[in-house]
Amino acid sequence: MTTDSRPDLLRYFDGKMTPDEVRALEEKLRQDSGLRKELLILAGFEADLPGALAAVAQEKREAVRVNTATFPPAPPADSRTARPEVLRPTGTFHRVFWPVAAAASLLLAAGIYLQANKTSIPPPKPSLAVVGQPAKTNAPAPAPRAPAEGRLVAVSGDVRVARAGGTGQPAAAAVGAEVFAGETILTATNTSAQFAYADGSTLRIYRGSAVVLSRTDAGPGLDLRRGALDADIRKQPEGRPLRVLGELMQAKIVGTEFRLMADAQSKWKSLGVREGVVEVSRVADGQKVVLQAGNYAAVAPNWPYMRMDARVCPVWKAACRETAGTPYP
Amino acid sequence: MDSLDKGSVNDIILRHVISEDAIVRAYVYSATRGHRDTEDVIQKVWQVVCLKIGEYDTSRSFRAWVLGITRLQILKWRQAQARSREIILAPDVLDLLADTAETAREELSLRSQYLKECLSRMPLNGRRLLQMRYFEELRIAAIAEDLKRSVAAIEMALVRLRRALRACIEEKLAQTLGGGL
Repeated sequence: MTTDSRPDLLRYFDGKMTPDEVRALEEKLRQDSGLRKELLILAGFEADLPGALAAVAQEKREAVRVNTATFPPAPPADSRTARPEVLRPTGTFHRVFWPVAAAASLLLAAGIYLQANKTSIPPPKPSLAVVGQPAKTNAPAPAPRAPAEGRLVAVSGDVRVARAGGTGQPAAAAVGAEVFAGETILTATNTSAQFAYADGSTLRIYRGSAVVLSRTDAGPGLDLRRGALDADIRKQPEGRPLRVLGELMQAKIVGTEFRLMADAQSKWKSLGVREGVVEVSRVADGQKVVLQAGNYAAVAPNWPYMRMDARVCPVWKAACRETAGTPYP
Repeated sequence: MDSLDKGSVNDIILRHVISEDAIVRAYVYSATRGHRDTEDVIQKVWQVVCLKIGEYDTSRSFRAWVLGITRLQILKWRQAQARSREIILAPDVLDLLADTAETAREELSLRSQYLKECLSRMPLNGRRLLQMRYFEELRIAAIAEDLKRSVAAIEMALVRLRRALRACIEEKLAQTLGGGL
């Protein structure tokens, strides 16, 4: 494909070109439509590679090592991939390899969590549970409260928990911190967290998110105010499903895996199902639709068209493709 | 566009959105050169497409409309990278790439399909190395340490594996085109 007289485009994609070489490449791209096509084709190849590897690994049922380290050690000096590892809803590993790797990762995290909590959730260790802000364990003795909804099993950077009712400053939280109904888990623009419910269900909360946990007699609830999360919900007790709450869209989760995304500014919200079945309802008119694996629903205010029945999920393509079990056109 | 009802919107999305994804992905990756940034931009693109679908003029090319949105999202991403040391392609080059992208969809789709077939035929060792780098997103230094090889050797092996895959794809593509498709 690439002849000697042409730039080595792999070097461009590997970040090996010097600034001068990139400028020279730009000049050639301006003049040569063939080179532009070559660049796009190679870009397509490089972009497809992780998804194709995931698909082949799954097809061959190969064991793949899962990197469960949420945060790598110090950022390395070189290379374009040397950024801090932060869970992102669109990260290749977390998105494309979901069916194998992320599920395994979540199970592993849940397993670690359950192993460490064989009977019930122990009180958090003061040195670990809360750092930075006034520790929960140092707070005035509260009235007897309901058991914690669960605890953070992984955090990356500055993750905070806001008390019920939004009183006081959100407190910095570390691995092991308990989170109670009414509290909000907050991740910053470059941080992430993983939360495990007491029943082993998990939420992988991505950067820039705010998730309010709640509980009523009808069961637990969660409201993603902004950001994104992946949920792996264990089978819930009959008649007490986990409820996904929100101004525009609500859902009942009996036990499934799904991704929830919300944009605070536009109020756009979406829910995509990876596994199982979710009944989603639009708050405005009560319209309900059942989403199966691979289905995706999105709502936004003043938006006359609600994607409630699509077999496509463009913001979540690979997972759709994998879970829907249908070939990608 | 004033008469686009829900049914036709669904129809447009079902018919077109998925089929344009490969080309949008390639276009975005050609600028970002990173999987995570690519996914960030693509996610934003489809979000904007969903929100602005009511503004789409059905008399015009849906692909061109989507690529226009993609171009804007790439430019926004480019602005956000202003402090980065990475050299990012100039806006006029990105425009030219968008024009080129309009004509490359079928080939990209075929290549995507052949990539999986070629990966399936690749010996496990090679595939494993690619998995470590592109799947598990391990740094090359970490892979080298793990496999007790030098960084340069791993880099070279990855280049060779990708070239072998591309050659395999080219071969399949030539067979397909030669077969009259």
